[in-house]
Amino acid sequence: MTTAPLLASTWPVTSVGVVVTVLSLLLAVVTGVLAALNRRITRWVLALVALLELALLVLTVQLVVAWAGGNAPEQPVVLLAYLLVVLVAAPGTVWWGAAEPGRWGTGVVCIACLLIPVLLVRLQQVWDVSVAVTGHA
Amino acid sequence: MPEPTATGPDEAEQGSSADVTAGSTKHGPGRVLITVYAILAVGSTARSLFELVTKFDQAPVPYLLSTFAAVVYCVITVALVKDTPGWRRIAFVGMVVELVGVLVVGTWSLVHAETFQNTVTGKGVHSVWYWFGLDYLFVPLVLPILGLNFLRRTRSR
Repeated sequence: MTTAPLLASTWPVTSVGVVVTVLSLLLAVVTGVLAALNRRITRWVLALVALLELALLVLTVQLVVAWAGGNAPEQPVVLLAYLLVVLVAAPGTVWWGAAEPGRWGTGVVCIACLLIPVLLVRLQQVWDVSVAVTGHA
Repeated sequence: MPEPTATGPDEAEQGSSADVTAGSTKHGPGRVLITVYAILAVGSTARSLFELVTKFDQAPVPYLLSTFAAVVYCVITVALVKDTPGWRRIAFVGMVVELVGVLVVGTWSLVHAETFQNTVTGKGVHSVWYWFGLDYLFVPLVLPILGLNFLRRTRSR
């Protein structure tokens, strides 16, 4: 697929998407283990979350640039909705989980880290409908 | 009321969440439950709004079922966050409706596929509880069971 020409509605952020997915799944494992040990989120986990959010912002910028350049998503409204959720997921759950000491607060962040890769797949599907397998909106 | 058993702060800190958070739906496992319910509420509400606005005529029954599921998820999320005895009862009723709903709609979508069809294109149309929550990785099927179990365990005596 590396030689595919740039067509309209081609998912433009493959490499950053891989970074986001790997980081997110790594964080899901780390927070999952911390939750099992009944620990709070540590400082370096927070740093990883910040890194994940940074990667998501880079991804967003890439999407906007591609969109402005004529490579528009096939379902723009749905795409924006997913993009909004994927951007608030990590900071939102860190905020929501911080108020809860112990495993359950950490578990909340773990859920976001499991959600983000799924949302990324959906983002890709609504950008380029030919990728979609389930077909619903 | 004095504590009948010698439950010290040490024991409470080590987990046994049901004791620590008895009566509260906002703390302990409830924190995680609210998170998952909120995600489903946002997902299904956005989805059903989009379906109702853009293509309601094409498959009214599945889209109305999605809307119903969205309302149920929103009510449960709010009820768990409110965390009062009254809202706790509403959360309980909501989860029972959710469990019955996902079982009925899931079975319906399996045995009567014609209902879940686009009247224009003839293609299959999903709904939130289609195939017991297939689109949401079957979380809708497991969640009410966990939720009802959580409410039962944290009941204040």
